[in-house]
Amino acid sequence: MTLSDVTAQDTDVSDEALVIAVARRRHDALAEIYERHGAAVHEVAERICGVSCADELVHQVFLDLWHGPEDFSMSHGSIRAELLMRAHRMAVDDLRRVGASKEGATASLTPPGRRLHGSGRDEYAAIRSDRAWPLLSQLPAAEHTAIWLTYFVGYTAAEVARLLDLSEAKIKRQLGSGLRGLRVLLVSERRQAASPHPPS
Amino acid sequence: MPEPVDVLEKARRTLNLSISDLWFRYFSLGGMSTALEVEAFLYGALVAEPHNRDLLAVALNERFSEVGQDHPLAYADDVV
Repeated sequence: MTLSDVTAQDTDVSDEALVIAVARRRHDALAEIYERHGAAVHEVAERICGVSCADELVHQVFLDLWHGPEDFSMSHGSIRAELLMRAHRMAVDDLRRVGASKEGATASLTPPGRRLHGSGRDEYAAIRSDRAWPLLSQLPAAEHTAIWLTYFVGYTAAEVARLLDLSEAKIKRQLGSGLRGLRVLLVSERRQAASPHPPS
Repeated sequence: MPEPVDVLEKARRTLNLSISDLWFRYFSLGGMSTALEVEAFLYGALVAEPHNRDLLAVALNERFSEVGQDHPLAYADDVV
């Protein structure tokens, strides 16, 4: 099914097709993307920087999509995840810019302290530090997004599942495999750091 | 087609703006409601708060200006 023979409100139209329609300057396509994902984007932004800031960020995220749909890749696994990541990044930037209260900024800029069980301490330490960012980006998009929403934004697996419109079981699988992947990356990073002649 | 129940909807039809075109103008002005909610405002299925109603009026008045007409729609503050 293509956008030429359906309305953008048709639920059969994929998000990717809607983004293509946005690139063709279709207001109804942007309206449909906002209908599908606006509330989730607002929720993430509000959690980090409050209601009034969230309103502005939501506008910014969706107007960015309108003005530069080609910049919205599937690098985070879905358009929804891309929108959420952008809202999070903007909210954090906004907090830094306005110099939010130390307590609020700390709560938002660092992971919320969700505990990992068993052998997860190394991953947890990495997640609590800035080291995690470049490593996370090496994980598959879906795992990256699940870990980011859980350990950086502070959602539970059930909340992440609702935000991403996936089952909780799937999110838990993504978290598990993502954390295992993170462990592999950490070990590799340590080996490279310990090596006297790191590979070029 | 039924008679428009709202002056905003009447203006939209006069301007020949689609719901999504009006929504985009409203959203660009800072409105937070979805296109479906805007449609419900226009058809009287939902009651728009004064702020939302004003934003829709601004969006429509801007379009009226673009086509060379005055600002025929009143804002909440105008109606005392």
